[in-house]
Amino acid sequence: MSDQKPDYKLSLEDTRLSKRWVSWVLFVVILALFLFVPMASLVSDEAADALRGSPLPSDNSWSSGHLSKPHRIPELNQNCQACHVNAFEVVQDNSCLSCHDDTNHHFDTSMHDVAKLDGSRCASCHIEHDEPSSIVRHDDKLCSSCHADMDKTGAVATELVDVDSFGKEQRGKRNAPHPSFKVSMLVSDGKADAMTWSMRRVALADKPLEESNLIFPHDVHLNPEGIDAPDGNQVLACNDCHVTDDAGELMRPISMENNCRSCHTLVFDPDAPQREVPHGDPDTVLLTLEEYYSRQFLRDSLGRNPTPQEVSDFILRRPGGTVARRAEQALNLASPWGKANSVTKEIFEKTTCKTCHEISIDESGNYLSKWRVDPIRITEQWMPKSEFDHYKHRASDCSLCHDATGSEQASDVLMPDLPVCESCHTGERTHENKTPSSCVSCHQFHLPEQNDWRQALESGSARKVVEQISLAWQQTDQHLASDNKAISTSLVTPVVAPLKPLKP
Amino acid sequence: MYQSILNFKRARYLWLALVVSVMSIAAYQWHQPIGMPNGGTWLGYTLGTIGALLIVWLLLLGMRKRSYNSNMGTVQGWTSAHVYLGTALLLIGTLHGGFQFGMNVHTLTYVLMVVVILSGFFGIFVYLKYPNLLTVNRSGDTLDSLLDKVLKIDERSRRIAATPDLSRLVDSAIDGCEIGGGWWQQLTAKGSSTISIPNAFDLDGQEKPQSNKDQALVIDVLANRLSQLSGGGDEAGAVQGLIANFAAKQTLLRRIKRDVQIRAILKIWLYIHVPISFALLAALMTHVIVVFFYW
Repeated sequence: MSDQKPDYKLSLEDTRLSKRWVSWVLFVVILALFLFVPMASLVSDEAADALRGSPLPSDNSWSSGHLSKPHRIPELNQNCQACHVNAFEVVQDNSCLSCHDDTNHHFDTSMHDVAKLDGSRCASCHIEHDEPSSIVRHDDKLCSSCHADMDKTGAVATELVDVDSFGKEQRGKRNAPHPSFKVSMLVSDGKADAMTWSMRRVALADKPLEESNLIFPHDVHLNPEGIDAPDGNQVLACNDCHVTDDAGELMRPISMENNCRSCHTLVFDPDAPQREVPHGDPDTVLLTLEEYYSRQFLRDSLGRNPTPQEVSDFILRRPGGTVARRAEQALNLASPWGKANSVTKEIFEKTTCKTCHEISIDESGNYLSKWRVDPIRITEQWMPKSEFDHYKHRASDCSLCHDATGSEQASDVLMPDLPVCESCHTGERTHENKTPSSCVSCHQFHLPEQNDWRQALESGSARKVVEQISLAWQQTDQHLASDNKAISTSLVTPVVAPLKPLKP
Repeated sequence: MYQSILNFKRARYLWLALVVSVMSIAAYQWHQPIGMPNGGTWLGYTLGTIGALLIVWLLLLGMRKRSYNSNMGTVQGWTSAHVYLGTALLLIGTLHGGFQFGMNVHTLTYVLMVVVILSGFFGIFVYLKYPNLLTVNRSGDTLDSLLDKVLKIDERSRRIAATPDLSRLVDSAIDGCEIGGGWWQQLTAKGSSTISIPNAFDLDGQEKPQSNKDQALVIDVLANRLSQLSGGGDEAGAVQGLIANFAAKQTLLRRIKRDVQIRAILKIWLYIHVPISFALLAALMTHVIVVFFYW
C-alpha cells in the first residue's frame, strides 16, 4: 500500500531547510567578516582607510568600546595600531608617553622602590575602551592600596602616615582616617640681610605661627565699619587684596605694589604729598631723603630752585675753597642732613615703615642707614601637596574656611584644618548630601616635583639596581673563590651602569 | 517514575548550574575593578574562560548524540547538563562582559549566544508540551496508519464514483490533495490542496484548479450535487457515499496535518539553535583571538 503513497513532505528533514550547510556558511562568513577582513587593516594604512570607507568591518569592529573622550581623535580613533603596536602584546607605556611625555612619577624612583608598583603600566590604571568610566582613576583604592599601610608597600622607611579614607563618617570605622592637615610654611633663620628661609611641613593642629616678618592685622583691615583710606573711609573685602590666578584656583601672591600701596603711601612730608620714599633698601631711602632735604636747603639758600648740578655738587662736597668756606658749608650741611636723619628715624621707627615691617638698628657702620628691615617672605602656597580650586568654592563665603576677621597678627596661619573640609565633603560615597570626594579630588598621583615617568622607566627602580650590584659582587666572589687569582680591579667593579642623573 | 531531562538524577545539573551562578554573582558583586566591570579584569578573564569552555562543551552535545558507542555518560545526562549549564552560561556571559555592549564583534558574540540560549529555551518548552499533544492527536494510530486509511478511503471513493463527471471530480480531488509541504505549510498546518471542478458541477463553465483547502470545496460541490438529485437514484447514492468518504478523509487529514505541525514545531527551533551555535563558535574564536591580538 505504502508504495502507492504520494511523495508527501511530512517532516522538516524533507524540506529545503538545512542545519548543516547553514551552520557551515554562518561559521565561515563570520570568521571571514570579523576576523580575516578586518586583518586587511594591518596590511597598510591605505588598506585600512579603504576598509573604513567601505561597509565592511575594519579592525574598529574589534574595539571593545569607545575610546575615552580625550582620546577620541582621528589619529587614535582610526588607527588602532597607534597604541596596539605589536600583536598579542599589551599596550606598552611608550605608546602613551609618545604624547604624554611630561608625565611625572609618583615618587623618587632613585630613592624608593615600591614592589607593589613593579610591573605597573600606564594601562594598569588608565583603562581604555571602558565607557562610561573615566580614563583617570577616581577611586580611593588607587591610593589606599598602598597608603593604607605604607609598611607593606615594600618602600623604604617613610614619614608618611597611613591613610585609608577621608570623611568624618569614616572615623572610627576605618583603621587610618585622614590625618590633620599639614602646611608647607616658610621658616626664617638669622636676622635682616643674613636671613635665610627654608620650607617646613607643620601640622595645623600644632598651631604654627608664620614667620613672614610682616606686621599685618587682618581684623583691623576687615573692620566692618571701614578703615581710613586716602580717599576716605573704605570697607575692605577679602578680594580687594586676595585675587585668584588666571585658572581661578590659587591666590596670586600679595605684594606691596599691588595690594598695599594704594592705602599705605610712602609720603614723608605732609607738605609734599606727591613725594614718596622708594619701597625697598633702607640706604636708598636715606639717600633719597638726604637729596630731598638738600635740594630744599639749596632752594632756600639760593632763593631759587637749584640746578641738578648744584644739588650734585652740594652733596658731593667737592674739595677746594678756603677753610672758612668749608666750615660754613659744614654748618649749612647740618641742617639738611639733620632733617633727613630725623625724618628717616621717624618713618623707620614710628610711622610709614614701622606700620608693616619689623625694624632693627645696626650700629656696626656697615651700612649707610643704621635702620635695617627684616625681609618679608609670605608663604604663597600653603598646601602644595594638594589641589584646591577657589573658583569651584566661589559660592561660599571666605570666612567659612578662613577666620580672618578674628586674626590680630600676621603670624596667624589662617588655613582651614580637616574639620572645615569635612563639614561639606565626605569620602568616596555621599553621606547626608555631602559632596563625595575621593583622594584624587585633592591629591595628584603624578607629582610635578618628581622625575618623569620615562626616566623612571629607563633607570629602573632602586631595588633592581641593588639586586644587580649584589649579583655582580656575588659573581666576583665566586670567581675569586674558584680561581684564587689576584684580584683585578675590573673584577671588583660592579658591572652595572650608574643611575642616570635625575632632574633637579 | 518518568525521568525527564529536567529532573535527571534529582536535577543534579540544576544544582551545579545554581552553584556556578551564585558564585559568579557573588564574585561579580564582591569584585571592585578599576573603572567599569569588563572582560579584561581578572574576574572578566575568569568568567570568560569558563564561558568559552562551556560553549565548546555545550556544542559537543551534537557529537555525543551521534556517538552511540560512547561511554561518557548517557545522552540524557548530557542533555540535562546541556540545558542547565546552558542557562547558567547566559548569566556567566553577561557578567563576563560587565553589561557593556557596542557595535563590535564582542557584542555580536554575546548576541549570538543569547539567540542560541533563547532558542534552546523554546526547545525545552516545546519538548515539555508537544510530545503529549502528539500522542493525543495520534490516539493509537501512527502517521503511516493514518496515511494508509486515507489511501483506502481514496480507493473507495474512486470505486463508487458512478458517473464520468463524478469520477473526474473525485480523481481531481484526490490527485490535488496536498499533505505537508514546505516548512511553512508544515508549521502552519495549512494544506494547499486544489481541485478542478468539471463543468457539469460548475456554472461558470470553466475547469480550472481551485483551492480545496480542508477538502471543503469537494464536499461543498458534492453536497450541492446531492441537492440537485432530489429524485434519488444511483448517482445520489454514490454522491452520498462520496460525501461520507471525503468527510472522513477531512478528519484524517486534519489529524495528519496536526501531527506534521507538532513534529515541525518540535524541531524547527533546532534550525536556529544549531546554525547559530556554529556562528557563535566562529564569533567566539574571533572574539578570543582579537582581544589578545589588540591586547
